[in-house]
Amino acid sequence: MFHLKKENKGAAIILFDEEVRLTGKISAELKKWFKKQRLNSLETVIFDCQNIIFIDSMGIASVISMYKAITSSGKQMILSRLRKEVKDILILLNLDKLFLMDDRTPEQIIRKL
Amino acid sequence: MENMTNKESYRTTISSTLDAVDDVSAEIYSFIAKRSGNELAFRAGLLVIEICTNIVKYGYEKSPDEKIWVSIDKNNSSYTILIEDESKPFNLLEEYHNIDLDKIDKLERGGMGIFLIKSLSKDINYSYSEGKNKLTIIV
Repeated sequence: MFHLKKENKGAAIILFDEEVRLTGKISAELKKWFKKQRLNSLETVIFDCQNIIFIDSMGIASVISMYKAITSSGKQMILSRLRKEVKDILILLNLDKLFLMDDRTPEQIIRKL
Repeated sequence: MENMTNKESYRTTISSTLDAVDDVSAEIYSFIAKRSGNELAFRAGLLVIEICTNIVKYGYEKSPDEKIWVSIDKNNSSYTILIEDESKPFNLLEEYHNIDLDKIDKLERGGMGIFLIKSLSKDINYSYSEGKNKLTIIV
């Protein structure tokens, strides 16, 4: 369901194979999967959120957990292509002040790194 | 999950599990999206999942044999959602949760649910009667 696709310029993209509701069960699986990923050589992790059609507080907590793990080791995490409804909820929670959000595709972001 | 749907209302009884809560949230999303669009549907689906998750985790303490009753009625451009459960009396409106980005560890563990419930409701009322917590939300 989740993939880490390594690109050039020290970047990688996390993506979902299909549309998901990022709620309890899937967010627990995402956290577990993420812990197994090797991010040592990376500078930037782009989380492609296009396929997240719904998110709840447990899903948001899993994104915060990924953000913490990535940024604590000096890397940056960018949330790409958030759907409007998901983005509105993150803004309501003031998380736009924490996360980097970018409406461009991950590939477009990487080209500009 | 047993449910009854007509053009203007939706009623269901679910067991107190997180999977059942996710399913009912998705059904309510779909019910409202068809009638009023994705934005309102998202808000209602999120309210239902946050409230029912709270009931499952803290009201019934993850006992899967308990029940939650969920109904939704369309009134012109808004919807009234009623969520009932038989756990111990708990009025979430008396809880205060602010979002503090300086305490990211706390956010990671939770605490956003009640803030979202209060922020996304147009109106919200709590009562306890006939052995049930009753939360009525306008969205």
